[in-house]
Amino acid sequence: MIAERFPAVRGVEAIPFSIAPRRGAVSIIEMVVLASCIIAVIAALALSNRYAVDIMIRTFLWAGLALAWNIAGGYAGLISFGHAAFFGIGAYTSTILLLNFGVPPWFGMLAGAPIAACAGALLTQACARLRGPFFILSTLAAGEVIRIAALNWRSLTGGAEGLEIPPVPNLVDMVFRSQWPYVTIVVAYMLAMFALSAWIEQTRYGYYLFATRDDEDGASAIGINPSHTRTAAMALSAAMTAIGGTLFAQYFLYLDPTHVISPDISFQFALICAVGGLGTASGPVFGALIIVPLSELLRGLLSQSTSGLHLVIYGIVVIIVILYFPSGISGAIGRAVSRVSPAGGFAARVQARKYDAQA
Amino acid sequence: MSTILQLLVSGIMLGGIYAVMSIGLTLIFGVLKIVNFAHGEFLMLAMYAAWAIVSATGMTTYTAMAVVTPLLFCFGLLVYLVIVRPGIEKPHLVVVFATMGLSIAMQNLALVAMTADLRDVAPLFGGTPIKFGPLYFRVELLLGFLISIAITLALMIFVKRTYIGKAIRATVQDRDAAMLMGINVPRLFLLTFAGGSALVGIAGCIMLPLYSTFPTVGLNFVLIAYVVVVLGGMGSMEGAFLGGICIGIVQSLSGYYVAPAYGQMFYFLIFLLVMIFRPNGLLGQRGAAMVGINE
Amino acid sequence: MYKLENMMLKLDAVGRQFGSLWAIRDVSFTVEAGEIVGIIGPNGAGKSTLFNLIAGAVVPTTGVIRFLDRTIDYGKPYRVARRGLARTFQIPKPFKQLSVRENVMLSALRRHHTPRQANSVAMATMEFIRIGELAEASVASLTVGQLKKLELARALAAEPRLLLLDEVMAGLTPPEIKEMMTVIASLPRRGITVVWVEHVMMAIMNVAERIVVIHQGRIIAQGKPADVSKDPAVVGAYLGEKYAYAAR
Repeated sequence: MIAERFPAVRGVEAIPFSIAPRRGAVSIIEMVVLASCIIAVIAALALSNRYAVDIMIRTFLWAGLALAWNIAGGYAGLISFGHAAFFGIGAYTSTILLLNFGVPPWFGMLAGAPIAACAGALLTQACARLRGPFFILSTLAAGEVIRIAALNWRSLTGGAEGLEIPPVPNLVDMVFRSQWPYVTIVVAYMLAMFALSAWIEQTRYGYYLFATRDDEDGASAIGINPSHTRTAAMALSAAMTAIGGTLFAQYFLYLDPTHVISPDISFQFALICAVGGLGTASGPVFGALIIVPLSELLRGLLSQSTSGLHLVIYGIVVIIVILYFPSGISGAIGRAVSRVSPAGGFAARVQARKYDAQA
Repeated sequence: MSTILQLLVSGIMLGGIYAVMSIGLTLIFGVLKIVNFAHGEFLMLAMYAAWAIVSATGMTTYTAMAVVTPLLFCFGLLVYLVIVRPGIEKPHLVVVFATMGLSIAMQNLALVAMTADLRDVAPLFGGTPIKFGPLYFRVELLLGFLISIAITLALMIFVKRTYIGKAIRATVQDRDAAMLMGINVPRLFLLTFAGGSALVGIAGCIMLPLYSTFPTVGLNFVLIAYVVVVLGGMGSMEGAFLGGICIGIVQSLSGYYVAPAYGQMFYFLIFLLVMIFRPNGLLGQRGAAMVGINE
Repeated sequence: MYKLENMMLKLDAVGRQFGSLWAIRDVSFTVEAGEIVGIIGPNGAGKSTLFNLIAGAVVPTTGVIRFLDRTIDYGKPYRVARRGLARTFQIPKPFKQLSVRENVMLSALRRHHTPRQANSVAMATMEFIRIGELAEASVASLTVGQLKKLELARALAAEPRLLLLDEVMAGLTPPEIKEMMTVIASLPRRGITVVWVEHVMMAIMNVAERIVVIHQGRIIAQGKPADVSKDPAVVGAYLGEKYAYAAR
């Protein structure tokens, strides 16, 4: 139906403020992301320093978790500060199944995910009418309810003493002596989340999420059921977060509610996405690549001298980044890319080429 | 029997104090429509400031209020200009994250500067409680409650009689209409944020005699503050007072009858129940929770 | 293209009460396939409420609304939209973080399930409304006129049977108004029935075939533009002496 070729774009307006960077430039960013990850892996291989590899494992795990959060927070606009609850559900379910029934975590994670998904769906339905800060605070409250419940349900979760996984290396039980199997698992998780996100962005469902996020009435008017769309997004996000929870349990081998189902962890998911760029597949990866090593570095440097100083800096960095780079790192890269190219919109041409080639 | 009466009355008094802590928040929430994640840290700052003044000069925290309140007003002004205002016209999570960052920074700055040690002030009158019939109260609790009533009344009169008060109520209901009516909404935002912070200053002075201060003291109370605000209705001062009283009673009763471990869970459950079934709170404006902000 | 039922939309004694106020009261009318029906009336007459009722966004207190021979799903605007109703909003509600093309494409995704196909339909629709060159622009950079066109493009890309236009001319310059009038007039030929609320009299009186006049929630007149503009009740309530257009 496009009789003539896509007419030349006269000049793409400077991208105004928006939380999510325009997707035309994503293909470049996607390449940068993959490149950075490969570089990180190679660097760690070269270093073979146990500490560095540990940081890398954590970075990729957080990247995957942040990508999972992003499905609800960035794509669907459901900013949740209670995702640690889903994380905990995944971690505890697989661990309880392992310790009490000998179920390998490879299967255990498939049990935690649906439970978390139901919890997520329930939460979204209960808070269906809430918007903005009310929704955010409600998710925070819900997360805390789960934490306190876990803390007190000793018979199930071991309460404040927590649960310990015996450090007996064993493939079936997903415990390894060397770090490298963990690296593989965690990188696979991250890549899976990345692929899922990138795929969502390309499909009809992804666009429905964006529409619901941007204008609910407008979305209803074109036939989108906002409630279903949101609930599905949150359920998916919760399930993927739960899987990450299992991986966390298997690496650290110790769980307790205060550290696992804490608001700090929920904030971390959100923060990584905000710093990296909400609403894009590459954002959370960038965010994790920056925040996790950075906070480790700060902690190593500063906590010897004065306890807490590294967090002061962390807090200030957060303020600066969110105020001056609200589209995060991937947004900044996207803007830089489209400004560097001649007016006429490199971004636009990339996008146009994508569709023309397929038309 | 007198146990319940004692619990109820102390609960009410505690509630008044919670109300003072939350009135600033409900104003900020109602007028600016933002979540200030650092609200608890403002309280922490107020408590530390009061402690410092009391330790240095030997006055009571109540007299220290004269210094702490303007101090918090200025601090609120500063925070508004540097952190909140740049984020106002943007999607709400900018302010959410910015205040979150502020909260982390402040908590840890306090940790670095003051260490984690608990700081408190000597109780008035050597700590002997006042006796009213069969009931006993700490002097500071009673004083705090009286001050909270005075403040709430003063604020209610202020809001109903003065121009600024009307401007506040108008902006809470409809920011755009208020602007069109000639209300200088940006300046109102500034005043409300700073004023709300000043109210937190008062709260800190009242609360220091009852609770010790330490770097993360804000975390306990900010939660209560949000539950009170939500229960009472965003933007409603009477609501904040009522909500505070309710929560005070709940805390007092549950502290006695229910295991303390579950205590906090109560607040969260109350919060969730209010959000799900009556998101506008007891006295809030209909539809407020459904509109959100900035969209 | 489509099998044309005769009766597209039927309102039967429809009313909506807010508190003690009846925004719409005892409104009944029918729209047949291929018509362009205009709705006019003073501000506060209830026109927006009427649209929200028809679109399913608001549940009627009384009466029945039937679209394409079936009662609509009250309160579920997405269901009504899926059956072939599209609407524009008086204050445009574009998807702010998406480009113009993506906005329109979203609408087309309802019937064409892959983004690629939807994109073709979107581009064609945008060409039809002559905003093709804005495709990659961000929503924030559009003028009011362009936003209104985007609203219309988005509505049309859904390939609806019935289109509700809500004050689509407001804020447009005279040449833009003329352009839009041509576009709207051509819609029945493409199989789209139009129900249109408007204040710009020149536009609606010259394009609509039938006018319904609402005042204080009730219909006070119905008929051809020429007849309605001379109706004394209408003149008294709304038009004044000046607007006696007898175009058709």
